Amino acid sequence: MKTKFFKFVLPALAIVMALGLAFASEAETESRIAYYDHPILGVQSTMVENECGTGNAIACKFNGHQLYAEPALTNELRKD
Amino acid sequence: MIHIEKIKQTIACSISMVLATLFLFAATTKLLNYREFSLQLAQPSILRGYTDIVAWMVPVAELVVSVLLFFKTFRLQALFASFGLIVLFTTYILLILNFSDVVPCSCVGVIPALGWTDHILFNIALLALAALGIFYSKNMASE
Repeated sequence: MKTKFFKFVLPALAIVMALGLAFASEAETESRIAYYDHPILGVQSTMVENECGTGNAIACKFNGHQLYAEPALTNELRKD
Repeated sequence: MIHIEKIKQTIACSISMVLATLFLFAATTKLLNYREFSLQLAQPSILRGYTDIVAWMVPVAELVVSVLLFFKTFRLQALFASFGLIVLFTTYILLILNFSDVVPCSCVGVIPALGWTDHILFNIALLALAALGIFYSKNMASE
């Protein structure tokens, strides 16, 4: 019984837990892509910290370029 | 004596399961968020130019190691590989923190809420765990 637990049940639990957690956290990362207008390369994408897009006080920038929420570069990302 | 052997075996097996779960989770997260992960890799200058190959190699290596950790026959080799992978990740974090022009956010990591410094501490704890697993698995293999 104990051998069966270590051989089959424990690995199965580990796989289910790992895949379940990975799929559960997938949606969270989607909104963390931001876009900026590079003078030579055009619209580029990058990753931003969570707080970008939640406030108004400070502009979110990447290498000095203003970050936007979408590739059309309409909504500026700002934080408090 | 047989009792101690059983305890060692259980510890080595439990450590392997923890590491396998972690690597499987990390690999799946990276593959599901492939675009974000490759963007994150492209930000610091260290891996620029190798982003695509590294963005595939890392999750594939993690998947292979996690699968091998489930099998008793390959456990010791897989634990050594886990130790090596964690050393590589920690070195990468130290390099981007100290020598990179851009420090990307750590939001596609194992625990998105952790900052890079916390990630280093987390990795050190994992290194200790992998070392303990190697120690017990080696003891069992030599006896």
